[in-house]
Amino acid sequence: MNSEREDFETLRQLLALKRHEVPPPRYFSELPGQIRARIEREPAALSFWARIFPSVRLSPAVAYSFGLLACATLFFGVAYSLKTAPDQTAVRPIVDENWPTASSKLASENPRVLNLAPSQLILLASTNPVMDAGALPSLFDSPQLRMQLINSVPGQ
Amino acid sequence: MKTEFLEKDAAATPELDKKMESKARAIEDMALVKRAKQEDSAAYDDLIRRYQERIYATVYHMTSNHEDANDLTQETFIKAYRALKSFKGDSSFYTWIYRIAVNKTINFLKTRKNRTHMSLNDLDFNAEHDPDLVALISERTPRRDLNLAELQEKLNEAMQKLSESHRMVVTLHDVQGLSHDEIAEIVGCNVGTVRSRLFYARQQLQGTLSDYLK
Repeated sequence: MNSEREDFETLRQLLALKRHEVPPPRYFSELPGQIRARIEREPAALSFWARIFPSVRLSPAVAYSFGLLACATLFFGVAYSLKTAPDQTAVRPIVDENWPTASSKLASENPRVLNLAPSQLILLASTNPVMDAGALPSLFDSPQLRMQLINSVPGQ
Repeated sequence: MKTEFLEKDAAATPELDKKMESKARAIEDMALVKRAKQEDSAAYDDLIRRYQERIYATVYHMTSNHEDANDLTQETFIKAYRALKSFKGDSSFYTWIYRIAVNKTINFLKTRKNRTHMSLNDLDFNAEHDPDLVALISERTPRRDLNLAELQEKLNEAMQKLSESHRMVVTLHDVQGLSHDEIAEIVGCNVGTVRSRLFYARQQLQGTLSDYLK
């Protein structure tokens, strides 16, 4: 410790210079008055909530209780969502694994399906309810085309 | 045997006196705080007069700028006045106001970052007669050509190169003469940290000012 003191002795002497730095004359005699004037002139800064709700004055106990209630609600909400059975919320696969079996069964029960086009067959065998829905009307006007015979003689 | 006891008593007396003095001061402070809480503005003015020099000096040595020190000192006392109702007296008023000043200054320095602009105060008349400084200047070293004002500038530049936490410890201990325990309470760390910061800061200062400390 003594060697440490000796090591820094010259530095300590130099730092003594800082104690002789003094503010302008009469500074300290005027400072209390300046502080007093600022206290009276500047209103106390309001908190964010106090600015939004100027008429509401919450005691710390009420504020802490409200915060605690919000935290408890959040906690129970998270806990409840984690407790829910996963099979209730899981998304079922759109494609049925038994699709080949189901389609062959359908063909044996109803031989007419064999004559259907593949696109129609898919519609019948589909397990996707969207596929069962009727064709939606087009958003655009479909052109009303019709065929008309015209007389045309080649070579004329 | 008796004389040995007397010698020990004599050695312990200044420290005891200091402790008694600080206790008496704390009791007086609490009485003034109590009156200030009851809207007695004269009591708060008394508290300002008691601590303005120490608070100003702390902030000034941290910033090396009189204008900044003036603003921060005023803001410290204004903040303390507004928070006076929440002051329960768990620590002394002296420690509490110091803590406000230290936090304000460190926050200010963090926003200022490297934009250091020094505005140094003049040295008082006694500086030329300070035995420590006389010894330092009169030796035949490179600094013999320097005058005190130049030395003051170099010292402040070196101080500004320290980190805020290290500068604070040097200011409170080596310039203002606070004990390690008092600094630990004000800064909010343990005494070991204060000691290590002080050692590191002194080492760094010694390195920066090596030309003037040979």
